[in-house]
Amino acid sequence: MSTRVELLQGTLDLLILRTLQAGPAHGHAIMKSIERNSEETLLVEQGSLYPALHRLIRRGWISAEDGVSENNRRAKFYRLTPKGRKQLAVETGKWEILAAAIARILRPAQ
Amino acid sequence: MKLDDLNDDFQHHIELETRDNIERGMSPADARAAALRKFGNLARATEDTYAVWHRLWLDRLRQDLRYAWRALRNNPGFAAIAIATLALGIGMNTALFSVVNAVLLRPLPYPDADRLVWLATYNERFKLEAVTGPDYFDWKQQAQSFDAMAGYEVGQLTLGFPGAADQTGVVGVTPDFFAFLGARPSIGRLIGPGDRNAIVLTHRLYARRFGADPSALGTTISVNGVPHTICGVLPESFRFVLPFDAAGAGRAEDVEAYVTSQVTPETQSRGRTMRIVAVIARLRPELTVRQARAEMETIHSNIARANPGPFYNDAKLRIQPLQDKLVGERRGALLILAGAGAFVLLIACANMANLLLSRAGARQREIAIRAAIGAGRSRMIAQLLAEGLALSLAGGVAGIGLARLALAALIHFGPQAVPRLAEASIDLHVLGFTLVLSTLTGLIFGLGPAISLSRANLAGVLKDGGRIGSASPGRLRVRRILMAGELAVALVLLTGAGLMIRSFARMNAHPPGFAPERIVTMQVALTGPNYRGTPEQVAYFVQALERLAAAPGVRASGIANSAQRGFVNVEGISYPDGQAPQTTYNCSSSGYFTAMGMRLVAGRWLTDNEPAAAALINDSFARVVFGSASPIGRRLRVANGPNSIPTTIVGVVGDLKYSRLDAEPAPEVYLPFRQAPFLRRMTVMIRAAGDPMAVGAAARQALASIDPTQPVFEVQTLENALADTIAPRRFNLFLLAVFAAVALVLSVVGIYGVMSYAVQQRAHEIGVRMALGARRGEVLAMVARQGMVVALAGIAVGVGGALALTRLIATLLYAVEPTDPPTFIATALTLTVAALAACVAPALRASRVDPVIALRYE
Repeated sequence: MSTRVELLQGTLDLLILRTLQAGPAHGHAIMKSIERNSEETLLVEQGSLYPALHRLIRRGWISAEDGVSENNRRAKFYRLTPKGRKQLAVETGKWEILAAAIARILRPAQ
Repeated sequence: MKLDDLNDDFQHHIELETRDNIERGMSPADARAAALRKFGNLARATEDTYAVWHRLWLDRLRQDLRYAWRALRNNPGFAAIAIATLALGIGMNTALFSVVNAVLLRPLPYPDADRLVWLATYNERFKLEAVTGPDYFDWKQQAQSFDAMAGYEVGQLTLGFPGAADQTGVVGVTPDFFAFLGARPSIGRLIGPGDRNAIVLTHRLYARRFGADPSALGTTISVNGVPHTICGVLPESFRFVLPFDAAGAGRAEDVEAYVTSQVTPETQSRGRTMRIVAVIARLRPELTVRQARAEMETIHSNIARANPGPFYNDAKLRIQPLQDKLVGERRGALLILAGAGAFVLLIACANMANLLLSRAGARQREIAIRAAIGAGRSRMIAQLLAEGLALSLAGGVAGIGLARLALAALIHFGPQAVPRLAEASIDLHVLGFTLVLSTLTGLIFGLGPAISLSRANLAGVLKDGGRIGSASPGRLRVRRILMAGELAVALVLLTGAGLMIRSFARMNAHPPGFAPERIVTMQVALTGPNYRGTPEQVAYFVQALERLAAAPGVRASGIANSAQRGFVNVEGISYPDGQAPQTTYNCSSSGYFTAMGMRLVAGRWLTDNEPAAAALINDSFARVVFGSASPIGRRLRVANGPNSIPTTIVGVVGDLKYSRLDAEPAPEVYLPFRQAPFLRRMTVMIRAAGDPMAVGAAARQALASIDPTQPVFEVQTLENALADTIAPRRFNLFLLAVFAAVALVLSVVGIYGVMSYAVQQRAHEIGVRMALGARRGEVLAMVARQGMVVALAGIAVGVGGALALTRLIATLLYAVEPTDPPTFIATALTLTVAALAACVAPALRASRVDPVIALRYE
């Protein structure tokens, strides 16, 4: 557990968009995907997942639709919109610049 | 977004997580518990998601307001008192300050109103402001400080229409008058240069006499018997709101026509014919009143040097902004009333503070519990703010309603003499100011409990059990100071009102048998070529007296006028120049004294056929001029001229306040009307046997039967005529009394609030005392004493304040000293009794406390 870190403010939005690039998914699947793909390093605080999803819907970057999940239950599936796809590119670019800059500051010797 | 959907989503999430956990080998129960733990606070997640879509603060505000409304409804007594306090404070002040604004502050309805000035010479000997025609023309010609200057004279003249006559307010205007005021005609044209004997009608007169028919233009009507041509009509919006000149008569509201002034360069010359004219001027934009004054002083002193004599020696130039002149003496009264309003607002705010503090005390425990179970401080402050806001809103709405009612009442009952009162409307700035002030009071004092409730004393409050607030002596002290302060302010207001009520009673005090409600008065003004000479005038009135005596219901009738004022001139008594007392010369018929119910003090009455020049004097004249010596048989001269006839004093009559109620009796001389040279205008006095107004109508008919072209007007009882003379004072009294009453009610409410709170706080202690054997009377006395100590301290401070402040209303008083002891004693007693009553009710409640219940109430 000690290797797990909390998400930086704002990065959850980026991760959700990235996850949904692979196709529509419901909330639990999105969480699982983030945790699995970060090799269980990133801890998604679930209380903030849903507000983030709704924030993205409100901005028009993702949409929600009803579907049937793997346990045969009606659930909300979230899908990337074209606008969201464009935004993902923008955000990814921004993130790379930011990450590189932070890395340079933290390890100036390398 | 639907909450159900969201909840569904969450449940779905948790189910999947639970399944995953089971797959990892947990028991179903542990798996679900772990899933829930991992998800975190469901309600919080719901709220946060909800917040994405909704403006939460608005929701919270709505919720808080709803809660506040419920809290107030559960406490209707508190809510009603708080709302009434706010409504009175906001409403009365808004109404009054709206009047102050309309009368004092709003600019005149003429262009460049701020540059208009009033020009006059003040004659120190006659104590009046007057400009003569020749002065006006000299000023107009020489003064460089002004863009424009105009003159006018206001009078009550007779307008003769075909088959009818009106006695009405008419303004004589110089040719530049209308251009000066920026007036435009609605039809025809206005009086301008070159006009002679022209008349401009107001829209009201045009509608009344001509049915608004434009063919009236160019026709002639007679003005005091002289034909004038109608040249135009003013628009309905034009209003005459200028000050009157010294000789002006009537009321600004009664002005119905404008005629060419008789003040022209041809008619006016010094030492021969001079008319008095009112002068207004418009200052050049770059100049100040002070600069204009310097120039006018020079011009005036040049005129005085060129025309030596007492007239100019005693005259001083006066120049002041027109607005100041117009408001004049009323400024003092209005500012005092505004001060009274501020006092009431102060009391209302103190009351609000008191109420909220006592409520805060009662709610300390509730707030502590809410804090203990996790309510955030900001959330609780928001809740208290919402309560303050709800109160302020309710109070504000009630206040606006009250302001409208009060303003309508003020305009309805207000005297005509207050200029532009009828134009007053709710002033939004004032309303905003009072609303903000009272809202702030509500909010600040409403917040008190939340702020004072630090975490440190949270436990203390909760531990204290059911008993509340015993740990807040500081708050109680604030409340006591507020209560004492309220009483002090209320006492000042009550004293002011009390002094005015006493003045009013003195003004209205009639000598026994005077009975002004039984006396009918009316005015007759003889105009036209038929009444130029004194013999024709005498003939008219002799006939009038005969017909009046024969009219039904007339017990006694007479005529009189106050023809002339002058210096006392009695043979054998000499005064230094200008030091002689002034007196009024009245002409009257013998019936006048009977009709008025006057009393003969010495000598004999006058008859209508005196063989030689004879006069009556009044008590004041006898006292001032003759002291203790007998005036009977002494001779006086009516005028200072060489041909004045020595007139023998044949009797002394009692003083009578018959012309103005608010004036002290002054020296008067009565001459038989046949011997008096001034008969054009007479007041008819009739003592009625039956209904005064029916007798008045009969008398009017009797006069009309002599000559229908001569108008008879202002038919009213003497009581009404006298009441009109004190109308402005009555208005001031009415306003101040209303404020004082509001202050009294508010401060009693304040005391009651403090005392109820104190009793509630001490219920437990009182229970203990009674359980230990204290008698009901002792408890009663203890509680009442506690309140009365504070109340009496407040009253004592108030008496001091009133002694200092009532000097300011000295000018509004009549025959009452500003420190009148009976008034002070009466108001202090009134407040003491009111305070005692407010203390006794809670004390009674305290003494009825059942010790068992009080002790159990934990």
